Amino acid sequence: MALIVSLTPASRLFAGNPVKLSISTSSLCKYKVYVNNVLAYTGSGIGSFYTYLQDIIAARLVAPRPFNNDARMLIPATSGVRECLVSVENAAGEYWSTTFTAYLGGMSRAVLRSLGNSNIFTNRFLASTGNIFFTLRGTNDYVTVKETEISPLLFIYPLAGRLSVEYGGESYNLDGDAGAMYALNIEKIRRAFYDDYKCLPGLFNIRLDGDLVVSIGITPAELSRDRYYLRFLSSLGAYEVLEMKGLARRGSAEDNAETPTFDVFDDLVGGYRQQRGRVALRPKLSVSTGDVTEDELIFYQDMLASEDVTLLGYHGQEIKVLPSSPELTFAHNFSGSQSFNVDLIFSDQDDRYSMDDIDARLGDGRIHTHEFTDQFN
Amino acid sequence: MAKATAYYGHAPSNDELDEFYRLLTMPSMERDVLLEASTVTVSENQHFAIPSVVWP
Repeated sequence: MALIVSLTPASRLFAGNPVKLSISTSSLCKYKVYVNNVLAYTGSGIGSFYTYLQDIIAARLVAPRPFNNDARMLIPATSGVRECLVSVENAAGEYWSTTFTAYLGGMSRAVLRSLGNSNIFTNRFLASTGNIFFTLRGTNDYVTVKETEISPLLFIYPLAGRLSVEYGGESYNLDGDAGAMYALNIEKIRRAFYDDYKCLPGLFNIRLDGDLVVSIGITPAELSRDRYYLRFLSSLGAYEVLEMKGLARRGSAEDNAETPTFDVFDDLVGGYRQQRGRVALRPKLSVSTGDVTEDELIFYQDMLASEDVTLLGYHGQEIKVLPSSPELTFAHNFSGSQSFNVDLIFSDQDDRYSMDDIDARLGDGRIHTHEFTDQFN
Repeated sequence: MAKATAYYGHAPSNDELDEFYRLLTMPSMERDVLLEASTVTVSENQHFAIPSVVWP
């Protein structure tokens, strides 16, 4: 027993969960971590010790950003996946190495505990049936996407077989490399059925060599005068779109630090008066979620926990926001649906203001501008 | 496309087909009116999905 090494989990793993490298060596050893063939970290030790590698790997992963208007049904999404190699060599010349595939994202602690030694990728993302997508939408049997929240769904192409998408007896083959990560472009699939077969599927099937893997249903969105869209990075390392409806209230969140003031001497009256600099305010939007069902609740909680949330289409801009829901409470035993308020605090604070129509003058064609046409825009 | 033809009163152009697609995919009253006038197919597990629209 001169060099014993283990790495858990093995083969495929999430960089958002612990990746433990345990080493037992009788002489000084060096371990190296390569991410996509680039040396990312070197460490050394002697005796029995362990170290966690997830942060080293996670720093080299970037969340893929596939778009609905992509012309492909399967959009390659390689940035959220890295091939890694760990090698260990001690002074006695003994050598150990392993390779694994790391994915952005992670599972909850409850799931990690219940998984034990089994691998979530084998059980779910590479399973032959069930919800194979990196999404919290739907259940294990089907995926539901609200029609206003359609965005490409990340998944790993099955290791064997060919995927197809089928509706009403018509189908398209989805060709991809086994084990590679792709995003399924639902918008493009619906448009293809519309163009080629004169139908607009509200529910279609994903099949592997003809056998049903999972059904994807498009659920109706409620009518609403006000609608806000949030794009957020989910727990599973995929960007998702979330719709918020209901009236929004604008406000400003002032930073806690008091605005500094200073005294200025006024010659005219021979005394001091108080003066201050410009006050920077942080815009805030309070939005009601509208009706949230029990299935959707976890999706909202994931958004509240996300580190990267963007408000889309607010005055034609994309704005980074920090969401919070200070008084978030909901009935433990859910029946029907519930609504709660979410505060979206803008990440930029500003002490200068510009008139609203300045973006139109900067060339963004809208109504009442020279670019206005008779088409609705 | 019979339904789109009926909607526009003539064989629709590509722009009008784009418009028709936009109407079918928008969450509004207009879409529901269109659905009423269309052949709606019901699939398995349809209870959680919006109806699929098929026209002759």
